[in-house]
Amino acid sequence: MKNDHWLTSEARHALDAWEKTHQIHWEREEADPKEVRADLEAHLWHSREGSEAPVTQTQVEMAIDDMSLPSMPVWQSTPSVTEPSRGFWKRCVDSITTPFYFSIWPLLVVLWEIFTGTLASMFFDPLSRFPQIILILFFAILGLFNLFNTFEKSKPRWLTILRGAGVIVAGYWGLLLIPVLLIGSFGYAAGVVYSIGIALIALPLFLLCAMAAAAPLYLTFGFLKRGYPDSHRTPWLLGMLLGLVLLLLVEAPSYITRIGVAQNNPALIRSFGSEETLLSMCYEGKVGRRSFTDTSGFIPNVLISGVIATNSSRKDKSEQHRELYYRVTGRAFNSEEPPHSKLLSLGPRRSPRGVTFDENLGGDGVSARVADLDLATSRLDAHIDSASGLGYWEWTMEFDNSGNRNKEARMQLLLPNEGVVSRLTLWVNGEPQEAAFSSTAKVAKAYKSVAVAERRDPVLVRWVGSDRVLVQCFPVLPEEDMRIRIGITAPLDSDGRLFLPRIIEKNFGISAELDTDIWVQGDLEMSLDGLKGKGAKDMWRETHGSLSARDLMAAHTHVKCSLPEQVTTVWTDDQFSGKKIVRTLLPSNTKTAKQSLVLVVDGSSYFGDWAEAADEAIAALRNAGHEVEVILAANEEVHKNITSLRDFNFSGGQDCIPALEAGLRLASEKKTRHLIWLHGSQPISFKSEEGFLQLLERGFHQIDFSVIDLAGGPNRLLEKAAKRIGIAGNARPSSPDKLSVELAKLIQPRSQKFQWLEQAEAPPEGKKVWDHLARWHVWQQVKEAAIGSTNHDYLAKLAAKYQLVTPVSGAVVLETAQDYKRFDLKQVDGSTTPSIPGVPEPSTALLTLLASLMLFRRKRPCAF
Amino acid sequence: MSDGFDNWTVQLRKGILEFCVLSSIADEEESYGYELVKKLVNAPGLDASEGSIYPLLSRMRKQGLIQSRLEESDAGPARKYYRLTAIGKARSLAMQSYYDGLTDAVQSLRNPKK
Repeated sequence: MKNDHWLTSEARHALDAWEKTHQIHWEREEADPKEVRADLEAHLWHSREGSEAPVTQTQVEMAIDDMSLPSMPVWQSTPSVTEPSRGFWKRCVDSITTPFYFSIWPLLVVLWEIFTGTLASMFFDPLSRFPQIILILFFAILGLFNLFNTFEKSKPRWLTILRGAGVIVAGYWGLLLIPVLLIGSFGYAAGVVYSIGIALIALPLFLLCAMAAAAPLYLTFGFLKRGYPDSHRTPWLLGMLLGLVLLLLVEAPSYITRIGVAQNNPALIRSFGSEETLLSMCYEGKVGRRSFTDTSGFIPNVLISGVIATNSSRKDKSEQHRELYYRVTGRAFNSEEPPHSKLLSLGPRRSPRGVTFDENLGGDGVSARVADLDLATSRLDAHIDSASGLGYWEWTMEFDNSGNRNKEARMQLLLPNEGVVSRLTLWVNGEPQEAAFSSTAKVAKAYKSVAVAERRDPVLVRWVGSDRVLVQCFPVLPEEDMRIRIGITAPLDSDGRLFLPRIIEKNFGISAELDTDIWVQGDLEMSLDGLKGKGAKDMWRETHGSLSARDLMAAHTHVKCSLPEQVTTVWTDDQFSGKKIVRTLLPSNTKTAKQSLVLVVDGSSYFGDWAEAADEAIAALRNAGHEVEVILAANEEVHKNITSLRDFNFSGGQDCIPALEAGLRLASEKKTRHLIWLHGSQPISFKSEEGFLQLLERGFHQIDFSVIDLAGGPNRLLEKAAKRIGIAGNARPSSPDKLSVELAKLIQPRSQKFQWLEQAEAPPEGKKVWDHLARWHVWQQVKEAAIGSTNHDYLAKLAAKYQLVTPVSGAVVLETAQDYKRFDLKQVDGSTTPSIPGVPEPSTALLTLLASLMLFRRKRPCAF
Repeated sequence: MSDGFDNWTVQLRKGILEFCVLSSIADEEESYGYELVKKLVNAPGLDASEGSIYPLLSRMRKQGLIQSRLEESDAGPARKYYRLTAIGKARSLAMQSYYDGLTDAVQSLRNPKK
């Protein structure tokens, strides 16, 4: 051949492909494929009829079409040609390179992961999100279609495009899993060197991991092996581009999140990252759970830092990730359902949601969600006494541990405004055991010794600040329930509202189906939105029903009471001092003074719902003659001289400390009395908070620091401020339209003032009420005295005597009498604890009388 | 038409194509491959394609029925010429004889009076 240029290279490739396809047929016809190819090529050249233009790929394809049809039957020589016998190994190789297995293997691995979660538990979750699952399954199933050669004859271009995309997608997972493949292949050998015992157990696991890791590589090989006709080069390249785009869509948010975390850039994560990946990172580095969670975390963590990272450095990183999670989303990381294997959750095995080994056991915070621990039942009972204006809640909860090791349930409760925990009960072996009240340090020490060190039954309640208590219960035994009851004494506010206690932070799950059964009774009319049951008997009223436990967590809920005219003087027998506690209502000061205030607004994501109402509330205050300055913390900046809040875009979680400091300085400059913080959740401690607390504590200008809790949720700054300085006032608007009223009430002097007396005799006038009056009186005394006082011992003893959880005292239930003795604690007498009064039925009263008479009759003969 | 008829025509053409190739190559002369193939492809009713004929030529050459010669060309691929071998000539004669007998038999069956 003197001139090869009469045929374009694409046309030559098309001929090559055609020859390759027909080679086997020609061999069966006993023809020489090379000769046939040469003859056909010559035929094409002669068909040009002297044209100088080279033969193109299209012309070749047309010629091929012309030459191939109609097809002739295969020649059968006599004797028939027998295929050369192939060796065993060649047959094996041929068998595993059959396209069928390219898809079957990866699909089997996906199934294996669904049922066992082997890779997810040992290395990382290769398919942690649904888009990933859909993507890889799509290409595995596409490979399966190739097996059946559904479209093989027509060779559509879209199939070539999808094959090109498949190479990229499967190749990406193949590359990711190469470390697992290597570890799986050589890990066994390493195991043999270091420990034969482990190696024997680990052998099948290592091999399984290696096989699973090889699956996506195999799928890639399958797509590559199918190749593409020369005419489909462009579709093939387009397909690879499509694969890259698909990967970018599915994977880029995760990688961007990790870049954003490395750069400490919440705005980047918020705009382009993945909250799911960030949440997953909050749980990375936890002992007992997989250290590396998803595709984006495996390579950098294992290969770059994971090998040399110490456990403590991983914990530090988790703290950083949790802070970033708040700054990106405006929510606490533990308020979300923990990350879990989506693949495993498709199968019969329950995917662990949360940490399986709780490294914060017995700690001072709620911390990460614990796997397999749930609130199983929840019941709220309340009694409201109109004369004293006090209510008493009893919250009975049961925790269920479906795991296989002991768990500690931890939660932070938001009590009703100015409420105090006045009872704590733990059921031990089915019997209710009351708590011992003592100084916070003493009860915490007893709890940690018994719970953490000795792993026996205690429950602890501590005050953490501003109507918030921390509850810890340990151990919730595997496959068993733990039941506790918390009693709370709280006043009705001036509008006759009694707020329900609320879980604002927890380390356990609450099912969407779980309801809290509620019973509220009292001697006045009452209502609670959502409760359908209602009853009345003589002077008693009640309302009951059930509300979703999750809904109760999500909002401030209250019982609304129709307050009768307030009794001027009420008194009670104080069983702890033997005296009478008398409360007298003093004449109210109705004069409304013009006030000046600085309003600091937490512009986190939740505030979007409140901005309009806040603008209206501020306008109403200004119209009423009050001087209002507004400072906003939004978008990581402090904004001053705000005229309209609704113009801002509220996103993420803000660090409000710079804005609060600015507010404090402004208040000092303008001699403003009130500094009011409109806040949501602030679940992390920022480093700068000490400076603000110092300003608040030491500032020469006396200021009332009040708060309006708009969203609930844990608030570390508020906890510290309440402990160190005290909060002048707080409000909880249940909806945006109530904000204006709440704000106005905060800046007015308290309309009701009481005089309290302790005396030996009952007052000649006045109404006797229940003994919660005495408890609440002491709670007020201790709360006010505890701030800045050095005499904590006296206050702790006083609070313990009245069975109260205060800034200086806590409550603990231990398992045995010896435990109490060992820690110098005294369990309260069951007859002195508060309880929900029963409504006596006539028949019940009659039965009681009859029973008493019968007892009397039976005892008489014995006396003699 | 039914699959049975299609199959019958295929079988018939299959058997006859080799005879057609041998018949198309002149006894003592060389036939230019390209023209030979074109002639066969263009033969009405034979329905042969280049894709079928070239492999057949290759097989017949390997079986020794025909022989080929390449002639270099100034431009493009070399030209190929075919010639019958002695075996090919004998096979061609035998096929001719058999084919004639076969067609006579078919004719006599179709027109018994003749």
